[in-house]
Amino acid sequence: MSVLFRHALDLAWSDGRLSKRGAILLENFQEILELSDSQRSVVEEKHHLQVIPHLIPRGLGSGASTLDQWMTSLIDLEDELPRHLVSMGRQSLETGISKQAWIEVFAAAERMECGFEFARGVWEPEFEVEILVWPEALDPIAKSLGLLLEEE
Amino acid sequence: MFIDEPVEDEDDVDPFEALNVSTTAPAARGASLLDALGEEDDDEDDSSEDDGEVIATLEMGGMMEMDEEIVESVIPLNETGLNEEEEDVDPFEELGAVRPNVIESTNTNVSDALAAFMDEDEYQGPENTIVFEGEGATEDEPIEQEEEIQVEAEKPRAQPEELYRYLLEGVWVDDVLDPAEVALMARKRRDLGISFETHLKILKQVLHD
Repeated sequence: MSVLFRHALDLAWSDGRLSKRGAILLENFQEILELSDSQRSVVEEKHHLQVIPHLIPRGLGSGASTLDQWMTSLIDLEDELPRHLVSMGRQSLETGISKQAWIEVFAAAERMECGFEFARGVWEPEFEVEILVWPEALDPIAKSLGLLLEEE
Repeated sequence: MFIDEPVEDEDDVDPFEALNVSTTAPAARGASLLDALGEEDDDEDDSSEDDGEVIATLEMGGMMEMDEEIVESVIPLNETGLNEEEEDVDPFEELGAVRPNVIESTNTNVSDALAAFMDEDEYQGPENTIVFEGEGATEDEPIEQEEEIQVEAEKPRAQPEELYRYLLEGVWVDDVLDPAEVALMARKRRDLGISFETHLKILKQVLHD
């Protein structure tokens, strides 16, 4: 949940400013994830305190376009999303998944209606999983699971 | 013969004797009186075995200077036997309580315990059960047995999830989940008959607690 919305905030503020379009896209994404205002405020307040003060304004909110593209590619995954999440769950188990990572990603997967699949990838060793290369849209998930370094 | 030397004179009259007064020292008289009294007690102990007479003596003599009621309240008059030896006085009897048959019960317990050790299957002696006030052992026995059966029947239902929850908590102790732990938990799910959905439910509880 917070993994995906946090990434959306990062993209919307990527040039140091939030445009009106970026704000509207964030509203839309909140609805897609079915986040309550209080849940959103927890994530957004943390972002305002920890990220925004370190941003250097260098644009007019062009991050909205990047956010729009990411949201579109994530929604387009549709049928592939469960397979990728199962695969990512299994890969994360091989490297060792932390409690915090499990909580965050499982919550995000549940928001995308793939919580059960992700859990099977992690907790069901008998369940055969095809290891896939995840799409770029799932990079925030991969980062949370420790499959992708922050710099990458 | 000296002047001071007393001279026996048959004509001399002893003034004590004349006045019919004893010349014996008071202490010596007291001792002889006590001896005489002691002899009287011994005679009574030896001769009389009737309780009533002794009590009557006490009452009439007023030696204890106590009212009859007080004496009775301490020791019932009809149960008091001064001629009985002190070893024979039964404190339980004195207090009007029933004396437990310690020797017999001990022997029974010992023999029962030995019998139980010798052959537990064949042992059919009385069980050592504690019965509290207000509880009828015979009446409640069937109910208690039913309750025990119910508890035993309920235990296996509640146990697997609790056990699984306990194990799941242990998995996160080092904060990292690895394949060996996951394999162990999968095996435990099979052994305990826990579905994957139940696993997820318990996992959420563990993580949110």
